[in-house]
Amino acid sequence: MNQDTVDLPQILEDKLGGAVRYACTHWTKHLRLSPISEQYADIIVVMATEMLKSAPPWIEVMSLENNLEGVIHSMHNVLAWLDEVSGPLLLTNMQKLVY
Amino acid sequence: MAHPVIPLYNLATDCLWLSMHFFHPIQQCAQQVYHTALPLSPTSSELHKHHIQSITDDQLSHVTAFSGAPGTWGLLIRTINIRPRQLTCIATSVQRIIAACEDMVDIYGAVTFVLQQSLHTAETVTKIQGSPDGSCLFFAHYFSVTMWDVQTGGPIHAFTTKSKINDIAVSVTGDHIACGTSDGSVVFRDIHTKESTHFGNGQPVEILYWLSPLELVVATDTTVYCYNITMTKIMTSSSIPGRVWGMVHLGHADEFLVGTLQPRIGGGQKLSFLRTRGPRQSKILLSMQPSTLGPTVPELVLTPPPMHPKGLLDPILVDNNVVCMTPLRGVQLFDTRSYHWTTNPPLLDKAISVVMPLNRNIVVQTKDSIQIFSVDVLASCEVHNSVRLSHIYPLGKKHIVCFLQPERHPTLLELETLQEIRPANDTSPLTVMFMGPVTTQAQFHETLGAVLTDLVALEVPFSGLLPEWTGVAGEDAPLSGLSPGCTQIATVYNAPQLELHVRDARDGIILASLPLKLGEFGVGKVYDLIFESETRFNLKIDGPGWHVQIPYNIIPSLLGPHPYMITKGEPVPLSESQPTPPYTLDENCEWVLDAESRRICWISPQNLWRGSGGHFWVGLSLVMVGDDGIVRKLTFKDPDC
Repeated sequence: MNQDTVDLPQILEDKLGGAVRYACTHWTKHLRLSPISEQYADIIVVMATEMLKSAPPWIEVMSLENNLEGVIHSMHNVLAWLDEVSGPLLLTNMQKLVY
Repeated sequence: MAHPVIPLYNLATDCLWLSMHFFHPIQQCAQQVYHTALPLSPTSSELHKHHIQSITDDQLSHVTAFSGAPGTWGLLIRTINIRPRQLTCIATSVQRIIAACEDMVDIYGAVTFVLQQSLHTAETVTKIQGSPDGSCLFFAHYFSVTMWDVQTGGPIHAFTTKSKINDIAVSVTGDHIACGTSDGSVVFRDIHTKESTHFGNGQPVEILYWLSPLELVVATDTTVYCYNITMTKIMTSSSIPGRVWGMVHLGHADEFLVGTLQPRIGGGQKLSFLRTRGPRQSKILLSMQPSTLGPTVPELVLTPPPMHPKGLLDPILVDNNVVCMTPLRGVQLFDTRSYHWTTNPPLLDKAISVVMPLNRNIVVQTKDSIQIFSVDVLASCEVHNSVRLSHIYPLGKKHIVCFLQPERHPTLLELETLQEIRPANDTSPLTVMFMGPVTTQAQFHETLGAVLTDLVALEVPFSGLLPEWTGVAGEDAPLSGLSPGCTQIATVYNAPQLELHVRDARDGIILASLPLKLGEFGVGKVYDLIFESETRFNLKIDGPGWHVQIPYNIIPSLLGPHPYMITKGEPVPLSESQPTPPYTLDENCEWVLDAESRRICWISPQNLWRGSGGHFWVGLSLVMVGDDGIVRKLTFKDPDC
């Protein structure tokens, strides 16, 4: 159980470090603020897809951070950004098919 | 060419479902992502597909196989358990779910379903309403209403009523609150000036509904009327054919549906919506002649009558559907465009109340949990076959016996595949009529009879034969066993007296009985009954410092009420202690524990019915039947390997 782990915050700091911990908590907030133009969105979609393919360790960290609800908020962020980006990407995709 | 965002969309949706569905175990233990969430995720889950092999290879999970796993995430998004407390009412208000357990009110976020705040009130909360802006909550108690500030978590206003409060409703603008009471009066209070007005027609108020900022609709047992707060008078009143169980305003159509419940000739009850136009079109509210006010709404007939006095629960409007629930048949959807009723999977048959949707989810109150369901999934999965399974028991080493709901015919599943066995695909279920509640495995054996049993036990293929006898064990019979030749069933009874029975397996006649003395087994407990032969069986008893096997012989008797008698032999000490199973369930049937009582896997409450006949262990496998009537088998790795 998470609560049985002595000095969990220190273990997380030692094993993960501040940068990774920050990234785990906030990566989708940055994604949400990312540009939606095709030039950037293509790359971000690929990166985010790869990130979510490896979601279990991330969920594990969020649980240890006692911030599992952050996973839910994060996925809402991703889906909201996708809503914005899917329009332009869909259009571009169709243009590629036509031309 | 696939849209490039689709894989990401699928993964994000899947991750969202996984984190919500398995929030409880993962929150407590991060490793449950591997032990519970990924192995028990639906087969269509992207994360399940990506990771299950590596989890198995790396031995991160105790689960080695999950038969009967769902193909999709299904309806249920999240269950919030309140046990051991019991819910008295729930409500939703501006991205919050509010749940009252007696005098304790918990507030949950509607996105994450995480507990945000708890309020302690002086009295039991019977109804909850939130102000439109979400800043205040109104709690109805038996004879008073209190108003609470959500931000400070403190009470800011209270007033009392002379009679018991049946319902409350906060006005659309949040300026007024109305209380319907059992003496027929409606107390109408201005929240700012604290002034109260009373009106009513003398009949106990059942339901209040704000039709507009100025119009309050009141349903009593036999009438529905509309009160205008600026004119301070009842504008229109109509008698209704039956008891009102709910009201829904179809805002887009400016129509109003009143659900009523009426007795039906031939038994059962009719549940129907009466349709009426709203005030802005007709200026005459709630006149009830369907011929002049649009098409007649088809009736939904429920037989046998629903157990709940209201028949259906709390109708709510979701898009073009009115969603209602009944404790008997689960979710009913009423399409307001086609005027068509549909029945949905009876997953919600424990529902006590249902409240308004949040984020396209509906929130359902059960006795001790809050369940959040996806409206989108709900609307797309009409039930075509309401047959489902319940009460599972092992039969021999290769089969499971269970009952088909709702008619309760027994049927068989193969333990290996969980596939149902029938004599032929086009044959009906076995027609042994169930006559009473089966609560133990011993009662099950007695109820079913033995023709079916010995066919299976002897590995004889089905020939379409039907059981020759059925009986109902009314007594408390916790343990039974079948003789090797399947000719006799021995049963230990606890009540009305401690007693052994041996019955003929073919016709159910009692062949022999033996009363047992209180304390016959000392401090030990009987845990097994095994036949050695057709005329001899053993009881195994385990207790502190005492682990024995007592033989019992079945011998012909010329005297006494039965043709045979049971004689007790000398206890034989058993050297080995009762084997400790490698895995067990905790007392709440929520966690699978290993031999060291560590929680190794969480079982969703919906996947395991918590009662006798809800689950059993076969070696390393847990076989369970869920609320959805699906039998699942969860196999764990051998701890010795």
